[in-house]
Amino acid sequence: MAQSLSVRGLFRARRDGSYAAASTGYALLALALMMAVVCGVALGAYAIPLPRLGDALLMRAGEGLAAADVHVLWSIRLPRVLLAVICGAALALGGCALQGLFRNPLADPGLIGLSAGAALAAALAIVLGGQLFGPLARSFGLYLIPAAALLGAALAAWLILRLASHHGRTSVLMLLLAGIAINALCGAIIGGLQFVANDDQLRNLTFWTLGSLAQGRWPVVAITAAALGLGGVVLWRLRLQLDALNLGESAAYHLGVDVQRLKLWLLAAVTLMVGVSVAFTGIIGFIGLVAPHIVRTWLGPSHRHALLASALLGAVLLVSADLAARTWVAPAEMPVGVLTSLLGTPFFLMLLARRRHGFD
Amino acid sequence: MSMESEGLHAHAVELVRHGRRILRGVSVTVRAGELVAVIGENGAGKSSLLKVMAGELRPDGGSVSLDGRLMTALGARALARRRAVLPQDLALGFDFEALEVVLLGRYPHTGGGESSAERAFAMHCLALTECAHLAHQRTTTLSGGERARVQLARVLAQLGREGEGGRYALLDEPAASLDLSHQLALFELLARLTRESGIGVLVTVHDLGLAMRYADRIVVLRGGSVVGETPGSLDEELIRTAFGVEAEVRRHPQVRHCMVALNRVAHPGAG
Repeated sequence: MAQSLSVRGLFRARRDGSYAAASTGYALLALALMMAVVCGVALGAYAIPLPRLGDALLMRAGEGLAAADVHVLWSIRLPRVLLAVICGAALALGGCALQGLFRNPLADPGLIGLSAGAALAAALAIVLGGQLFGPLARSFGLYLIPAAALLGAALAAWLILRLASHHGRTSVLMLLLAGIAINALCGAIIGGLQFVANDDQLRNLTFWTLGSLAQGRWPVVAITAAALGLGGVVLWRLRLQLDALNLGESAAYHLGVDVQRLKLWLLAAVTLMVGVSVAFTGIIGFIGLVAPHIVRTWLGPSHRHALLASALLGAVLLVSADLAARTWVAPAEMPVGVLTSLLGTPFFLMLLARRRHGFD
Repeated sequence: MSMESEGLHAHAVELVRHGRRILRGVSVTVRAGELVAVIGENGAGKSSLLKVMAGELRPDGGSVSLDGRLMTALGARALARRRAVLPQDLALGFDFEALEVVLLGRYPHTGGGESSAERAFAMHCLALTECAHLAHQRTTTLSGGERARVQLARVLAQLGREGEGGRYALLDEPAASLDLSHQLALFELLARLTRESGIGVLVTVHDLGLAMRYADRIVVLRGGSVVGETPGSLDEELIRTAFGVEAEVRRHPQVRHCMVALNRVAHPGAG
């Protein structure tokens, strides 16, 4: 009885109104991430039993099965699972930071159109890149699509900020409406691109709009990790200013925060992380909404903990979602974005219902 | 331009917002160790004056200086080390614990490092506003008055310890949501801050009794202009000019002056 009460206390705001200890939170999240990663690399269409996993990890390639283990683990599973860790963390961090900026738990990179902007630009690069830039595109190679996605995300971020802010105040209703508009526009253009695309490009495009981690290869892991690292460092340094912003923009100024500068750095960091992540995985919705929300109700909203804990939880969620997407209908594969949206939408609606009277 | 060096000065400040003149040539001074109350009817420009003196709004004419330096020459961080502000309608986006809110006040001094000494000091500030028992409550679970006292503790934390350079506090209607007992406690605390720590306090207040009892000076605003400035007591003429209310001010053996409001009358010269 006592034990069940304390377990429940971990996930619910406690009765005295305080939050769970951050150290407990980090420990549990780290454990969950480890378990998710182990399951993620071991399970799939080709399962690697746990006893053989260690050998494969150390690249002890022997004959037959062991050689296959090493190949599957190092060329397929590990980069894919690491990409899920990185992109899950990036999306959750991006969501957490945007929510801190807009002081509202509904600001998610997908919902407000940041991801769609990135996806549109990536789609344009896929379909028209070769024709428009020709040799240039080929020499850019792997970097053309993330560069385009970054640009698209930045444009969307700028548009969102212009549409939703008026005289230094940000209207959440405008934010969500702007998100709808940007999402619809980008969706329409991507749809149009599907007509002019050839078969190869078409497969590529579908995957973009639904989201998938199938592009997980080592160079991709390196690029997304760099973007996450850069953006993450910026956000980590802004964590206390984000906390101050929770009192509102003028009170943050009273506390010595240069609010305009904070906004620019924050959007730049989120754009970088989310843009690059979307460039390789397509639109994976709701991680950025769900992870920070759970973390806040559990460990409290202070960004000293919310940022890092969101990143961990986001990684856990995306690794698990990808595992489910790979194994549920194996050997076929479900787009992971479909899965996160299926699970995330009810969560979003619940949040909306709870805050029905909170709009201005 | 001649400028006294010590003190927080608004000098002939003009402010225009949305085509309306909000402040018309307002000059107000708060010196270290002085409690200045600003009174006036709704829309007289009290909050705007406070925002201009806090550096939040840039005046369209005139200037504001803090201890001899123009406000525009001070960065946000430097300014935050010298003055703290309690705005009127603070709404938290997310549900922080009271202690976390108070610790935000330490940001300009520490950059956010949260040592046990900082936490102890934040707890001390909470105790000063009689909120120590609320330290680990989330702010949404607090009453309006409790929230106001937690925010006041945050302002105290920002003013800082002796020698940290906090000099001025600008408080917009800090008594608005407090009960009678906590209103008195608030003004006792402000009076102590000015006397013992040499903090200069500018406070807007609606209760003229509190203003007369505790303020070293009272500045009376009407229609964006200063229509009177008195040490201590208000006379009936000034109250009529500022509020359009006929009142009687009486001496009181314990609290210097008290006031009885009698009737609404037309503003002299209003029309």
